[in-house]
Amino acid sequence: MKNVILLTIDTLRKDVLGCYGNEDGLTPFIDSLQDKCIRFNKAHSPGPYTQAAFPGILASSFYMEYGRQKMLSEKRVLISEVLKKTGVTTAGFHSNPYLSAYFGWNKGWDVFYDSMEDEVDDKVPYIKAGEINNKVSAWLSSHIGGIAGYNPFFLWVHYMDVHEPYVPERNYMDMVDPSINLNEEEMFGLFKDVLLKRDVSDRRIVETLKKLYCAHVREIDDGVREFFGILEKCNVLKDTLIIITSDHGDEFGEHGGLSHDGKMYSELVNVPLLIYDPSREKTEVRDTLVSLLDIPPTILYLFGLNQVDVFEGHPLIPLDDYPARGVFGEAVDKHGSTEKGEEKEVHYYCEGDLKIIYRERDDSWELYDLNADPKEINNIVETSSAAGAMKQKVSPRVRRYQR
Amino acid sequence: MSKVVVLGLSGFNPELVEGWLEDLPNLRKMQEEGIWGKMESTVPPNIPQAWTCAQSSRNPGIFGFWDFSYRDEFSYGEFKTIDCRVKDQRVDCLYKILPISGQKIATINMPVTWPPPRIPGGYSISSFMTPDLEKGFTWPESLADEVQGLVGEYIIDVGEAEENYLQMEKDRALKRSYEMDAQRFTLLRHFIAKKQCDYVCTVIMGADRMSHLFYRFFDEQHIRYDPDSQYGNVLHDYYVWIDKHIGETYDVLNGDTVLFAHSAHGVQRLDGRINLNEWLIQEGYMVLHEYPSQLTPMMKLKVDWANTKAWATGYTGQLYLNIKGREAQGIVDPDEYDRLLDEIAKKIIEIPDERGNSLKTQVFKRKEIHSGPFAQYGPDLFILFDEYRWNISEMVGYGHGNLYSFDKPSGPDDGADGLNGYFCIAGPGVPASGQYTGATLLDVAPTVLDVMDLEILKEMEGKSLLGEEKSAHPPEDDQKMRSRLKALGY
Repeated sequence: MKNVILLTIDTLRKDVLGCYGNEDGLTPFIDSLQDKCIRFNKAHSPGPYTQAAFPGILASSFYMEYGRQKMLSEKRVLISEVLKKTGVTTAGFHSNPYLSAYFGWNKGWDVFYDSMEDEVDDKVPYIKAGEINNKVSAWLSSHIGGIAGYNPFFLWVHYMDVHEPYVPERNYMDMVDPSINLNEEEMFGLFKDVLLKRDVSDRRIVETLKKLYCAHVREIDDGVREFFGILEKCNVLKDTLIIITSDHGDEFGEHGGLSHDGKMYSELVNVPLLIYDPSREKTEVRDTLVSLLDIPPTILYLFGLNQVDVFEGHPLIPLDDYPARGVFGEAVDKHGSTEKGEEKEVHYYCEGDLKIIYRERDDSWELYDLNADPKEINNIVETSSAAGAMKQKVSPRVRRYQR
Repeated sequence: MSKVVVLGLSGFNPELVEGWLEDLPNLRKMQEEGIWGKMESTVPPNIPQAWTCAQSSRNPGIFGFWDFSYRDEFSYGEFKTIDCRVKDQRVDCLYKILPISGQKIATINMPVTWPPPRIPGGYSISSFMTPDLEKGFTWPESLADEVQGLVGEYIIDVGEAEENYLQMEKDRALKRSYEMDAQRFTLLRHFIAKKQCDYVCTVIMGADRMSHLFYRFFDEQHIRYDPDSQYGNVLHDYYVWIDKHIGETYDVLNGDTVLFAHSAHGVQRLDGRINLNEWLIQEGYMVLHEYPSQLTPMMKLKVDWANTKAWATGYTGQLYLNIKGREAQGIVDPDEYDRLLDEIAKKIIEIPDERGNSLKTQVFKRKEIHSGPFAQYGPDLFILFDEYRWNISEMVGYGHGNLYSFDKPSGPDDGADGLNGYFCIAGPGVPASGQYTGATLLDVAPTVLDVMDLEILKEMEGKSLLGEEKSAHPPEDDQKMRSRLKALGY
């Protein structure tokens, strides 16, 4: 395949996609792609928020490797850097401040748009998918030019539209639940007064928030549809492999909170992962445990390039060469500037049907049997005979990068 | 480049800052706009060498003191009071380094600056160890009149010549502390506004003193917790008052100056003292000609050196061996050095608290943590009982085998200096990168030099806290980033 695109959608839960079993019809376009997709049912993000996940997605390294500054460590190698050196054209378009040039994420891109020069407002504090698509379209048109023989490209596109504040447009709200009659101010009020305060005391309000979120999901599906339309129009879709995923999910009270804080439950770290291959004719479903750290090695493989030592993941393709192994994730429990106090580490490790979580703050362990208890409610760390072995996987990783 | 104001907050405890942050709007603002976190002190966390480490980015082995006095070579009994002249012969602090590169500076109340250092083109006001104003406390000398004109009679410390602050009547100590620190802030702002200095530093001592005096009145875990006094909020209110002054100081910096606030150690609750020399006697490592009939400091004990292998000094766990060929009457074979230290350390770690619980004791051999030309004269072993929440008494006379005490001879003391200090730095060129993990006192001087765009000296042992992020962004970009993240809920 000539080109590779990485399409990441911020804060997109796996279980809101039809292709992952959701029955609310929120993602008709993405679902329609399934015939040409490899679908990973057990893809794990290495962290529950952008800063913890993206070192894995773009640099195949863990969050706390090389210290944990918001600034990207010079020691991290982005997939863009590796590709650019080999002559592949690299372009990135997004609107997530944590991934901006300000924090050093512009390494290795021939073209890099992070929206920080543009004005945004409080209700939509990012550049929306439609505008991102316009920029991608303009770049792509100029890149392929009028003549045949354009340079192969790696394109990374990241949408923010599912991220809070949830203030969806009316038509999308109506598609999800027309009975919700909140105006923009009221929706924004829920963001400030409920979501920011992580107030889950009123179940109905939490359900309303989830519906607002789902309206954004429905909206972003149209954004993806438009994006594919651009690729079609530019006549590159047939020559391009597209990896679709998200950096983390979002919580709606499942474990006592909202948004995406430093927790390691499935609503946050289980993510969709699809590989769209235009030459494919039938869905391929994989139940292997995989990690988003595997994305950069996969991209190298797709371009026919040698693997690089700094990447900690494993290529997802060829599918049958992928080793059965556990997946790790790490974060700190307070990561936003609004959260006061000392940060403590949180780790998880998943192997087979078991997931273990360690919280440094109270030196506590949780072990879940994801098969019997997919909602991660019954902590079996005291009773499971596997607890000791699972702990031993995680313990060496705690505070390992203390400077 | 930016100018720098270093605001020393002696004794500021990061846990207390965290707990009271809602009431400390100015520190909160600085934290939001800059870099902050715990700042690890030196072992042991005593004021004189801790501030010297911060100002020089060198470990105590370089300059040879670990406490308020330093041992004269390998003497048993002769401990000299440190002063600025000895320090300046041995190590270069910022007030020496900066004028050499042409910076105009002022230093106010930096510990171990008496006699006041003669700063070319700059100013100094000596520290709380100044013996008497009459003996000179400023450089140039003529500065003294200007100082007294601004603030009245200059207050050297909460305590006075004949009266240790721990023995003072509490209300009077509190009043004097506020007056003293108000003077420091007045002088600090004067030097910033009127003297066109590139670097001004001052050390505020009040929070340190007040912690030692008032900790029992608000900390429920304090062994002498006293909830029924009028002093329950004294320390909280002191932090709030300092925060107000930090805000006023921040406001007079006109966009070209970075404010770097830090403590050299935190003061935490004191749980008790291990009478370490009593223990050494009990274990047979120390032998006396005569057991004293009253509490007696180490230097006045009648030690049978020909039969003594180890002794301890100070409050913070400093133990020496009596080495043959090193100390005058040394008896421990140098080949036995490590074995004996290991043996003593192993037993010390097993000393429980008075209820039999583990003290989570840590020990460090000197050579593991300090190095340099004067390291050899230092203690051979450093002992941390429960992260210094348990201190040490060097006194003997508590009664044979009596290992636990609480009060100091100088009076009741509620607080213990601990390893966790606090820092916060904000201003032009300082990124809003938030909480920083892994800062140590040795990082202070390199950070100051980095902010001022000066070269970090090769021999410095710390790093700049600005890291790779320094000056990467103009302030308007920092502002834009903050508002974007805030709008997303971060």
